[in-house]
Amino acid sequence: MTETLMHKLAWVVAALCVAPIIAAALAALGGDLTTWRDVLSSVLPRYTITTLILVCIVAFGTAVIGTGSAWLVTVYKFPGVRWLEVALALPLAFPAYVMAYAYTDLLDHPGAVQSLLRDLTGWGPRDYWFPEIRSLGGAAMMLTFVLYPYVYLLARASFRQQSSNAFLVARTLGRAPMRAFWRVALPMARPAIMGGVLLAVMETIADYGTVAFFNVQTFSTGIYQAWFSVGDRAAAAQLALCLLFFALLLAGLERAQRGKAQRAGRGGARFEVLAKPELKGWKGWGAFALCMVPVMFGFVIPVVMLSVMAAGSGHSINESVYLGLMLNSVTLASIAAVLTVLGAILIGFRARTLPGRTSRGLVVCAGLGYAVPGGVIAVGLMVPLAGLDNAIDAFMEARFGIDTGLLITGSIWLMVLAYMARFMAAALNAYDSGMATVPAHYDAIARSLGQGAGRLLWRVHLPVARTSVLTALLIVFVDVMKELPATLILHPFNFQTLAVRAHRLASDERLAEAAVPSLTLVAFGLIPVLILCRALGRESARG
Amino acid sequence: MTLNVALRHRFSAFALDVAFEAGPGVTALFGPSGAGKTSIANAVAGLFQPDEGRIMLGDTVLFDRAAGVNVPTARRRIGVVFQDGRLFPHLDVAGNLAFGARYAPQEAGGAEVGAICDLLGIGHLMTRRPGALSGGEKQRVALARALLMQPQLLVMDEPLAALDGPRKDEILPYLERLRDAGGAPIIYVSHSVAEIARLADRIVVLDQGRVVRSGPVGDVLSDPSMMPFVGVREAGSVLAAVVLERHADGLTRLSLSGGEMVVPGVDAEVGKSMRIRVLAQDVIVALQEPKGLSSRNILRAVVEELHPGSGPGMAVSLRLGADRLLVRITRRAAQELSLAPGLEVYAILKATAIARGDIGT
Repeated sequence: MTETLMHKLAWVVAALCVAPIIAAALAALGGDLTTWRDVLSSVLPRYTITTLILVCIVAFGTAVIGTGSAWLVTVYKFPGVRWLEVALALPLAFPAYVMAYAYTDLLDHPGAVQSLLRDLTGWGPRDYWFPEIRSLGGAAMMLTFVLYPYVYLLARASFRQQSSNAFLVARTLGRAPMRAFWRVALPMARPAIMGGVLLAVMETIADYGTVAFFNVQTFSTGIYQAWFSVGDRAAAAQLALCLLFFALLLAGLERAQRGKAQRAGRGGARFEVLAKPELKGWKGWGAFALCMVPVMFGFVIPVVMLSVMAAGSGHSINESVYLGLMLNSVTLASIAAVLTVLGAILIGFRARTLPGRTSRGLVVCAGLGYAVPGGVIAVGLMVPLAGLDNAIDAFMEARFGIDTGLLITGSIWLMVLAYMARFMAAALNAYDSGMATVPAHYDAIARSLGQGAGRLLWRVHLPVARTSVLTALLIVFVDVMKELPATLILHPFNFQTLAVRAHRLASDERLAEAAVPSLTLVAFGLIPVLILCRALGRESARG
Repeated sequence: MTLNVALRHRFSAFALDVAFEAGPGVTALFGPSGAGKTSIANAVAGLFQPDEGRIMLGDTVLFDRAAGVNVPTARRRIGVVFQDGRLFPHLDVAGNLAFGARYAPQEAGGAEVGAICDLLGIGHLMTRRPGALSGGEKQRVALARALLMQPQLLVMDEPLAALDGPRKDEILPYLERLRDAGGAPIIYVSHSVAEIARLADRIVVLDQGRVVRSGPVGDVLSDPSMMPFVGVREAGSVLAAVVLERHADGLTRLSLSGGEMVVPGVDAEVGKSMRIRVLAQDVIVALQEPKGLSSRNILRAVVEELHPGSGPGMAVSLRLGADRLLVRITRRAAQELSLAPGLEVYAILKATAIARGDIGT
């Protein structure tokens, strides 16, 4: 393949990734003003308020849990700290909606907790008040538990990298440790924490499965309802545009924070180099208990619950229906992962060989989808293509008497395209971090040794950065497995996935049955988390 | 084959505007950091495109901005060796060597691979990974890799700068052998006068993007007016010598075009040609032949040129047969001795002042 062709393909990939977003915006703007007025006056305020409340709770919760646990495990020595450092990342394996199924089963009226309460107290079904899990607060809790690891991981990295000097200076100037934390360490880590919170918030507004299950009215559920229940596609697109606006705003903020995080406090000895103060006795066990809370609620309890539910359902993953679903999910995720990573390689290669503003712009555009909820991308693809499909069908019917049906929108390739647009940034980031370790001199050497672009990529870049390529593949694979809203809107009628199935079963209140595909999703989700954990473990062993 | 370079480029910090020719043998691009050496080397290799200019190798135009010609690096057949060898970490030594060899015009036969590996002394390293090689070994493998693609020109950009003293001394003899094997012309980028004095045939002195002087390395380095560019502590001349006799005490007697000298640390056979670098600051000038002096080398020479510096120092060049000997003394001494062109003097040099690294073949 020639270099120019590869560079052109990079443009094509970027265009494919950004097209659904533009299409969604255009579809929204194309809607007539009356629907706009309806949307603005009726549902928009409600969606805005619930979405904002949700975002605020999740932001606060993830910030407190993530920062607090990161601070404890980075700065102090206490029982189980090595193990906790890794375990605190585990909830990342959960799709939030799966967590919601587990907790609903546990905390609902017929659930284990309330039953136990009734048995112990002898209360009747209506004699007491119990917090309702199917609520805005419940959804916020679920999202907080699965999303705090973003803040934890970034804050932890920042605390580890912070120069301990500033902290020590504060201590020698007579500041107590807690004051030094508030006055020095926290402000220095603020960009990283903000970055983590923004990622969590982006995931929150993109979430569909949890809020839909709890029947909380947010933008995501609104888009879906407008699309399917009401059949008002323009309204769906308009809601999508509002959400897109929020998302891009957040993405911009996140990018700015990332820049700051990279500049903040470097140099000097790191905390880990110095002897960590040891928390002894009740203080140590207190720290352990504090850090155990998110691990218990975010991982152990839901895993146990799902296992119990799955066992009680009488179904197993070996049944042919689940094997078929798994095959669908794995096939879809594999195709999407391979194509997305190929696209990322092309874009990354262009950015490397032709550095400059154009390439940077290309990378940003191709990665925009990460901030855009799956529902928005799906709507963006459906609106123009459904029209095209109908036109083709009508034309073929009229001209040749052939019923083509839904040629484009009925195929899994549209889903693949949506995933590509949605997860290109993840692939780009992973690939890019690998390529950053391949010095530019290798390119110069390879070219001077007579290698063209294709061979440079094939014989040097990919072998040297193979771990990153694999990581990128895995991340996209698992993200696709878990993705719900885009899959729900785009999947052909005869093509279900594990996520869709879990969602359908849960919507029908068949939670025990939903546990089987849910657990499978968690098992897949664990793969990248375990890889991450291994890296974390190596890091702390070195420290 | 001759390389012909003429190029101009505006960087934010300085402007590059150079023109020079590099014939067979080793042509050194010399200058301080930021003089533009590496930019020129990269332009020759096709890794950097200047604003204007033309680069020709023999009859082939490699780059011509005006005519819109830019042969891609991969097709220029110019071997490049960088400061740190940059062996590919995912391949062993044999894999690294094969990397370029496969795309050479005629695939190198086993004999040729063997010859190059012998020349560079890397035959025993074939199955090793780059991580298990010393810095000097890495550089030799990188050099072999570049040679195996049968380059029409070899560009070496500070190939020794990342090595410590002993490693440099280990690799320099290999570079001398490579030069003497008479293959493709070599462009050797360096800011080290010592390396250039040992290896180069010609030198192009660069300063702030311009060519200050170019010519045979002996002429340029012993030119008193070059002292500010070369650096007063590094300035010196390169003398051609032939081994006459090896003494039992470890000293070797050499014949120069204008006399004889004894130096330590030569392990070459009698009759072998050598090049000896004599630092300007190590030479003493006397009007009479001194007696009872510990210095072993007292050579008759004629003052050729005096070049006062900005401080109390002064550069003096002495004619020594066909060679020119550069001396650095104080201006006050020059006045007291009444040095003037044409005056016969004695140049005195301690045998031990000649470092082992300053003796080359």
